[in-house]
Amino acid sequence: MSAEHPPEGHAAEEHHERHGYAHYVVVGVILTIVTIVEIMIPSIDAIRNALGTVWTTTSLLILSFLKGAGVVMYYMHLKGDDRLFTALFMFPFMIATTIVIILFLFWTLTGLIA
Amino acid sequence: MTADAHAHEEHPTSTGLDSRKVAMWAFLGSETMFFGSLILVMLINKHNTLGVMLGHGDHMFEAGQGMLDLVLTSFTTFVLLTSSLAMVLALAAFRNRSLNWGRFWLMVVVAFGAIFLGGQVYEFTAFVREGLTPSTNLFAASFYMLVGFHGAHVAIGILWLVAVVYYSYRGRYQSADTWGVEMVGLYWHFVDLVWVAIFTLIYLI
Repeated sequence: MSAEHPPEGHAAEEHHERHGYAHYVVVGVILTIVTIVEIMIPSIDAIRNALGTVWTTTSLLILSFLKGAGVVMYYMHLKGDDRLFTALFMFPFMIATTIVIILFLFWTLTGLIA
Repeated sequence: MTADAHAHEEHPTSTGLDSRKVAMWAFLGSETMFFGSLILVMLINKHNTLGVMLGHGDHMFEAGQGMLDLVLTSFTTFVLLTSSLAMVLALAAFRNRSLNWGRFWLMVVVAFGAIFLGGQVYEFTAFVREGLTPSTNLFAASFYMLVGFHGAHVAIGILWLVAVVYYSYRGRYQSADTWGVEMVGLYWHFVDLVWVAIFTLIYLI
């Protein structure tokens, strides 16, 4: 590793951890705030009624996805790790997610979620 | 170099990656499919999707869906999320050779995991007392299956964490090779990740 290039992969993780525990705390605070927003959306009638069922569901799915992405990228260090690990995890994840999205589309089209 | 250091030395592989880590990610990929299928079964039964498709009834919420305790589950979700933060701080501490801090954060993860499990036991007990058992209906069967399997994963994670703490006192993870902590960390974050999905799809939607 040359001095002029930033460290990559595992070395990057170590480099980062030596200088910033605060980084993980910031991610943790963001995840907590997202969770609070998630709980507020279906719990507060005004928000739920303003969004409607479809947008309530959609917003919850998006927030959940963002939260999961935060955990995978920053806590599981997939962001700076080898792409093989990303492929091993993301391929089955995308299959599962696609089927869930198809199910929600089915519910929407058949009027189960209106 | 000591025999212990030799035992934990990384060996060259055809991918250039640590085989143990490759195996762990492959395992987590398979676990994603496992929990993905359980979540799908749960969602299908939640909205009587099969009944609608086959013309046997309309969209309905079966008995038990109104019993889900959002307040308790929100608290245990927060606890599990915080345990993930403690887990990543533990790994960082071990990598920085701060063994005592590493052990401390691992024990925080164990404690938070135990609180989460306690919440699940309380929830299951309350459901059974109110007459909702796995044999009540399809919703209850798939709910106990999904949340129960997740709880079992949390329990296994707690045992694994305790083992890592024990081995850290036996002299492991004091060199640059902290793979044992990293592996249990990946597992724990995955368990947290699964709960993120379960909480949203089952409890909130």
